[in-house]
Amino acid sequence: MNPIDTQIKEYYQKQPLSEDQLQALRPPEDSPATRPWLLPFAAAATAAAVVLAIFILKPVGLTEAVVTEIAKNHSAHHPMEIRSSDYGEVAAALDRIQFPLTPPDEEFRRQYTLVGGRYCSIRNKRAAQLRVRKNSTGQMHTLYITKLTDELRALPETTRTIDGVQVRLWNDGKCLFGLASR
Amino acid sequence: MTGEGLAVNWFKKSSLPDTAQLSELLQSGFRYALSLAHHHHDAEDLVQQAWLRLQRQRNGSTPIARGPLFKTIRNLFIDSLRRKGIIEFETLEDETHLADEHASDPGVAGDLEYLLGQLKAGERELLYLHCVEGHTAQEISDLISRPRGTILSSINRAKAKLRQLAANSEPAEPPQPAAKESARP
Repeated sequence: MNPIDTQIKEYYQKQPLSEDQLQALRPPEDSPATRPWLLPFAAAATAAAVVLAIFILKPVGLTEAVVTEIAKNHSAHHPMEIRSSDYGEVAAALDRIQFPLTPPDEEFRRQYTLVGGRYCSIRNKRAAQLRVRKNSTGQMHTLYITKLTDELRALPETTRTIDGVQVRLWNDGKCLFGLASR
Repeated sequence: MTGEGLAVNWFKKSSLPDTAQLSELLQSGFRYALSLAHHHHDAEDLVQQAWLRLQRQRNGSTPIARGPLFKTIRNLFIDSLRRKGIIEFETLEDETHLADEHASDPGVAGDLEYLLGQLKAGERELLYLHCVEGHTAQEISDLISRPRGTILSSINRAKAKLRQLAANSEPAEPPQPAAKESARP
């Protein structure tokens, strides 16, 4: 039998951080920040794109805008303000949220375990960003909840993929839900 | 090995880390977090939060090194225990009695994950830093701000505890999952 030091070393060396997590934490390999001389060109290209968007292209649809906002939030991996598997505790900690912080339905409660939450916003309205773990796979998802406004009420139930993040949107007549995962 | 050994800075092309080096740092941070939390997803959360916090603090302009990464992970873990009202982490006793470091070390039989889950987070942390990272007692002492003698005796006690747990475990008993062992009171 190996000495205990070797056993412990071998045990921990067999525990890898998942490739998804590594990818999320690594900087993009070819990001502009790694090539400072590209920044002026990038700025000029961005300005041109904005001009094009304003004067030539039609405004981006609301669905696309909401899905993109959720996907960006999901990819940002903001730290949680409260870690708890209890919806009541999370709701108590996020006391500026003016709508019920509950799972969308019983099926969702069965399939996902709450990990924690933080404040965020969707279309400049306060929202809750809840981190949940899918019980069957262990994969982390992010659930966004915000109160339905007249604008958001018009959103259809849909599933889109933005930059590798799949976002499902739906509502229950009172709140808008967005579930994001990679 | 020093805490500042692995400097990472991807904002200056001349000091761009190679991907393997960056991955190694993150993997090390993750395994250290795992030694504290003994729960895969909690460890992922810890290393992620620590990494993002350091990036924000440094505004992406200075290197992130192993030492600060480990310290941030440790602080976040202690914060999480405090929020849960658990105080078991700070339990290393200031005692300098040293067991014989070179006593026979036959290893342990049984499910090591389960056995490690029976240890306190602070005990797993010491074993990880000593056995996996290869830190000396003095380096661990610097990292976690405890006397060197306490570190040495605690490492030996943790190993003895592991052996005792292995000896006491029933061979026929199936190992229990270690999933929720992160914060035993």
